Amino acid sequence: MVLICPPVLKRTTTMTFPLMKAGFLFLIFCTTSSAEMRWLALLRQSSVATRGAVHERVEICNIKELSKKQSKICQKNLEIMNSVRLGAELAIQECQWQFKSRRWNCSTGGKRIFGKILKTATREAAFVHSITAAAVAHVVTRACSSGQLQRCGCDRTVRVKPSQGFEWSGCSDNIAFGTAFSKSFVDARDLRRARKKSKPRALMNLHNNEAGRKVLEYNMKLECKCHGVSGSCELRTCWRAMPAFREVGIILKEKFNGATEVKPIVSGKYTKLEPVNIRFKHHTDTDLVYLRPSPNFCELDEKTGSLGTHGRRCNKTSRAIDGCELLCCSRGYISQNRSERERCRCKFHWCCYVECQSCVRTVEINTCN
Amino acid sequence: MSGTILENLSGRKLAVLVSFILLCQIACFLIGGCIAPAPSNVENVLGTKCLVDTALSPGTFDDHWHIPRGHDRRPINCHPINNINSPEAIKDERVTPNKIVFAFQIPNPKVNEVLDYSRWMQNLIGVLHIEVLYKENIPIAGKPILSLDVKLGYRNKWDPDDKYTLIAKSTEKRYMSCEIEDKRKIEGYQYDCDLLPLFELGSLHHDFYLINLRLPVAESNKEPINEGIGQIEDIIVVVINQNGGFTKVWVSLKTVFFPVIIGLMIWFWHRILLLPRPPALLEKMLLTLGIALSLLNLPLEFLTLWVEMPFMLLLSDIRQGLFYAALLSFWLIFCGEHLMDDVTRGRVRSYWKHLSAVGFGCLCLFIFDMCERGVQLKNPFYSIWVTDLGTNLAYLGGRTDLGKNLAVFSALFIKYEIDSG
Repeated sequence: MVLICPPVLKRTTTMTFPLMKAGFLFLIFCTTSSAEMRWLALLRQSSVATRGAVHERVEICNIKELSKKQSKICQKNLEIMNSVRLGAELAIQECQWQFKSRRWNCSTGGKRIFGKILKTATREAAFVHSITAAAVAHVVTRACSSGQLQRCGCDRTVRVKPSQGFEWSGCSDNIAFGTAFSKSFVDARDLRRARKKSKPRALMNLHNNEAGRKVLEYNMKLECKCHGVSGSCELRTCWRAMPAFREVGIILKEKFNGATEVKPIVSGKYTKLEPVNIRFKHHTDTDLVYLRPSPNFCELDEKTGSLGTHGRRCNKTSRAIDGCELLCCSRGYISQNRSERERCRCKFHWCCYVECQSCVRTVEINTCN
Repeated sequence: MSGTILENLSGRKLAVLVSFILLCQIACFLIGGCIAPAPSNVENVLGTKCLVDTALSPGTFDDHWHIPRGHDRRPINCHPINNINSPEAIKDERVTPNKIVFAFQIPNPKVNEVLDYSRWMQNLIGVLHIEVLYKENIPIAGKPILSLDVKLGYRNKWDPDDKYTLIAKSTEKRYMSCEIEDKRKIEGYQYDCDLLPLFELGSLHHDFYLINLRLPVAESNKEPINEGIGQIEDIIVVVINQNGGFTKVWVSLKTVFFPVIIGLMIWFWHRILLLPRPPALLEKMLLTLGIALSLLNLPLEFLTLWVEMPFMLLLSDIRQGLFYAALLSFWLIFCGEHLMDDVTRGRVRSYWKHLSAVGFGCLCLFIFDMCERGVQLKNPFYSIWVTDLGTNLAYLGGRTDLGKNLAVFSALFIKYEIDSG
C-alpha cells in the first residue's frame, strides 16, 4: 500500500521554509509516496505565456510540481512549454474519448489532475503515462512543423547547433526532436528514481512512456516523391508523416487491453520487469506493463481514486463493457424517456460552417443506480 | 582496321590503365558515399490558418501577403486560428472559407536560428499533403476537384519583414484522391490522401519564400467549387530542396572531370587524324558520346550562384536527355559494328531505323518535358500530372525508369533485328 502524503503538510512546509528546505522535508515525508506525473500541474497554469516578461515566464518553471531537472528543461525551452501543456490536454481529451464507455472513464479534476488513480501502478496508470508521452511528442512535433517554435533541433540530440549545418545537409524531420523532447521532459523524474533506487514503479513508468512514443514512431507513414528527369523515380525523396492522434489512441487502447502484469526481478545491480505469468509472451517495447491489478471501479473509493459508476449513462442493448449490466456492476439502472432536440440532416461546407435542421427525437436514457 | 590507342597497348599497360580507371571510379564512389550528404532535404511545413479581414471571391487575389512570422515573429495580415473545425470557429460568423488563408513561410526556424535557403540548394519542389479527418456525416464525395488560389513570393535577407515579392499567382485544379478502409472509419481518423503536386522552382535564388493558399467557395448563384472535399483539418506543404553539400561535391567532381574529358577527347581525335585512313563510324560515335558527356559535365551550376536561372531544371533534363540519346546510339552502333555477319555497315545511314527509334523516344521525352517544366517557367504551379492523362503517364513514368526502359527496349530491338535477318 502506498502512503499518501497529506496535502496540508506540503502547503505548510512550502510556506514556512525556503524552497530548498521544503523540497528536502518533502522528500523525508513522502519517500514512499509516488509523485506520478506531477508536471501535469502545468495544466492549471492558465496559459503558458511565451511573450510575457521574462520573470513572469520563468515563474511557471518554478512551480513545485516540476522536478529540478524538469524545471531546468522548462527554463531552457520556455517556448516549448506551451506545447507540453497542449500535449497534456490532448492526452486527456483522447483518454476520455477512448474510455468514455468504461467504468473508469478517465475523469479528471481536483487537485491532482487524474485523482489518485495514478498512485497505484495499474493498467490505467500505464495507459495515462503512455498516451501523455505520445501526446507531448505529437504536439511538439507539430508545433515544430508549423514554425511556431524556434528551438526545434535538427536531430535527436536536442542540440543547440545542427551537426553539419543547414546549408550542407539540411535538417532531419521534426518527429526526432519531438520524441527526444518528450523523453527528456516527461521521463526526467522517473529516470532519476530509476537510476538511484531502481524503483519498480519508475521502471514501469519509463517503459510505458517509451511505449507510447514508440507507437507514435512505428505508425508514421512513409511518403515519397519522385523528382528525377521529367519526374521519373531516378531521384526519390521520402519522409515520414505523422498519424492522426486518434490512431495512436486506438492502438494504445488495444495495448491497454492486452497489457502485461509484471513484477520486479533483481539481478545483481539491476532491476528488471518480468511478466508475472512466465507462460505469457515477454512484452515488447510497445506493450504496456503494470504492477498491480486494477480495482473494479464500481464504487467510490477514496484510497484508489475510483469514482464509482453511480449515475453514469449506459447502453441497454449492449453486452460489452458499455452495457448496463457491466457498467452498473449489476446494481440495475433507471430508464427514462426524454425528448431531445438534435441537429440533423446536416450539410457541411468545407470550412467551419454547417447547415443543419433541428429535429426532436425521443431518446431512452439509462442511468446506473 | 588499325587501332588508335587501346589496340596498340601491351597486356601489362592495359592492365595498369584499367586498374587506374577502376581506382578513380572507387574514389568517386567513396567521395559520393562518405563526404556528400543525401541528395535532397525534405521539410514538412504545417500551414498557419490565417483569418483575414476581407473575403475574396474565387480566382481573385489581393495585394497583401499573409505572413505567419513577421517582425519580432508576430503575424502580419493574419489572425491565426488554431483549429478551424472547433465549435468556436464554426459558431464564429467571421470564419468563412473565403476569409481563410493557409500560409506557409519557408524554411522554418530551427535551433534558435532563422534559417534561410542558400543558392547552393539549387531547386525547390512543393508537395501538398491535405489532412482530412473522417466524419460520418461529412464524407468525401468520390474524387472531388480541389480548386486552389495560390500565391508564391520571396524575400531577401536585407528586405524588411513584410516585403515579399510576387513570383507567381494562379488558380489551380487538383484531383483529390482519398481513401479510407472500412475498419478505420472511426471519427478522428485521417483519410489516406494521395500527395498533390504544388509547385516546382528551377532556381532557389532567394532566402525566404512564402506561400498563401486559399480554398475558396463560390457565391451561392454560381457553380459550386470545393464541394464535398470533407473536413479539412490542416494542410501540410512538403518542401524538397537539393542539399547544398550535395551540390558542392557534385559540382566539384564535374569541375574536375570536365577539363580531363575535354583533354582526353582532343588527344583521341588528334591520334585518329594522324591515321592514314578516315575516322571509322564507331570512332565518330565515341567522339559524339564524349561531347554529350562534356555537355553534361559542364559545371553550369556555378552560374546559379550569381544569376537567377529558373530554367536549370529544364536544362539539366535536356542535358541528360542528350547524353542518353548519345549513349543509346553509341550502344546500337557498337553492337551493330561488332556483329559477326557479312552485311556491310560503317555508315550512319545503315542504322537509320534504330537511330530514329532512339530519336523518337528522346523527342517524346523532350516534348513531354517542355509541356511540364517548360510551362513551369511561366507558372511554377503548373502540373501535367493533375489531368487524367497525366496521372496515367505518371504511373508509367513514375514507377519505371524511362531511361533504363529505353535502353532495354533498344537492346531488344537489336536482338530482334539480328534474329530476323
